[in-house]
Amino acid sequence: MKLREVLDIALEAGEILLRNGAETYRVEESITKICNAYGHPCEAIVLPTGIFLTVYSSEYESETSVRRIKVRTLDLTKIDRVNSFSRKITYNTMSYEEARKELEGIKALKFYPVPVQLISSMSVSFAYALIFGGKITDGVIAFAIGALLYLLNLYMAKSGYFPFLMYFVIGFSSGFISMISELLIPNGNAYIIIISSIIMFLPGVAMTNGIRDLLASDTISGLTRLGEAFLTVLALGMGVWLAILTVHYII
Amino acid sequence: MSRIILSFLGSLCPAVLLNTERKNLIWAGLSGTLGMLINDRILAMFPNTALLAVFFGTATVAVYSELMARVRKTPATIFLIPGIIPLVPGVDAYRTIQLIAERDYPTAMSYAVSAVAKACLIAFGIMTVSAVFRKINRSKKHVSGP
Repeated sequence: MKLREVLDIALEAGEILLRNGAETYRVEESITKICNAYGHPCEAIVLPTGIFLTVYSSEYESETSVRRIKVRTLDLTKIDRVNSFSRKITYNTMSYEEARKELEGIKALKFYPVPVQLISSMSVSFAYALIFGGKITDGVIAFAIGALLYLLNLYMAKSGYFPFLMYFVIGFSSGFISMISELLIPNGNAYIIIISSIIMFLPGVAMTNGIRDLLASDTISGLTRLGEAFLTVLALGMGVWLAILTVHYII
Repeated sequence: MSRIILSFLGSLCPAVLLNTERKNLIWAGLSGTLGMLINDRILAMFPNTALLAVFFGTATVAVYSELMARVRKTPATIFLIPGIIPLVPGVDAYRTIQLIAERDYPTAMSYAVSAVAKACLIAFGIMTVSAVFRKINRSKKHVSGP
């Protein structure tokens, strides 16, 4: 296999991993594994926003390439598949076309259908409303708001707004509906409804992953992730706060 | 009992949203239940030790994930991320912003400290457990190798 092709396969695998929310060390490890499987040493720098990779051959030639990554989501199945792909390739190396085809197959894997995701995002809100000590009525309202927020998220992600506007709108609608329902329904608790309906958007896992990167001395990645988590929670919090102010102003 | 079911739902459904494979879904849900149970148990035994409870909850989830990763031949992340969702300090971080907006700075500060400390402890718990498992794995390979 040519140097160019090794570079292409390794970058493609790295891009799928990074795009779907793998940890930085896993991306670097997988890229190194793939290059070493074809007998080439390599140097990789992985940031949350891009991959830099140089592959060397034995004759001191080298090829370098850069990939920019803009959108990142979390998709555990794709991480799993690329991980086992990179492990498989160390035991029996495949040709360029084979590897390329396998990666295209991984890329084309689908999410769960929208109704299943809708129901599970509603159930998340319901479950957390009860875990945080709300009553059944709080749970039912959170259940309904969960559906609305999921559809809103789906629509806004498709229309390509920048993520922080999306979080702001999500926070605002959650806060607004919760405050209104607290007024209409006796002994409701708006605070519990709000936190349980936005629980899937709160960056708890992102914060933890950021600190994990820092501890693994991927300093730049860690700080980037922490900054992103901070902005996310800021956008959500400001959205909710504005909604609460609006409701107080109206009444 | 209701708490077991709720915490199971509370990490099974995020696992669906994170697109875990169907055959791993139940095990991802169980990982969250386990973490939550340990967390609750420690909180019940020693009140005012929220940070300690989170640390041991995470350590349990991490051990479970590493073991399941060996059994089911997937990376540990598949069980780890859904498992820590009930423990991560997303709500604390949100509460901090909310209290700053309401100009209650002392309480906001205590929530911020708790959020950062919890995130650090969770990360530290995960890293420690995975380091130990890596070490065990390597020494096993070393013995059985040629």
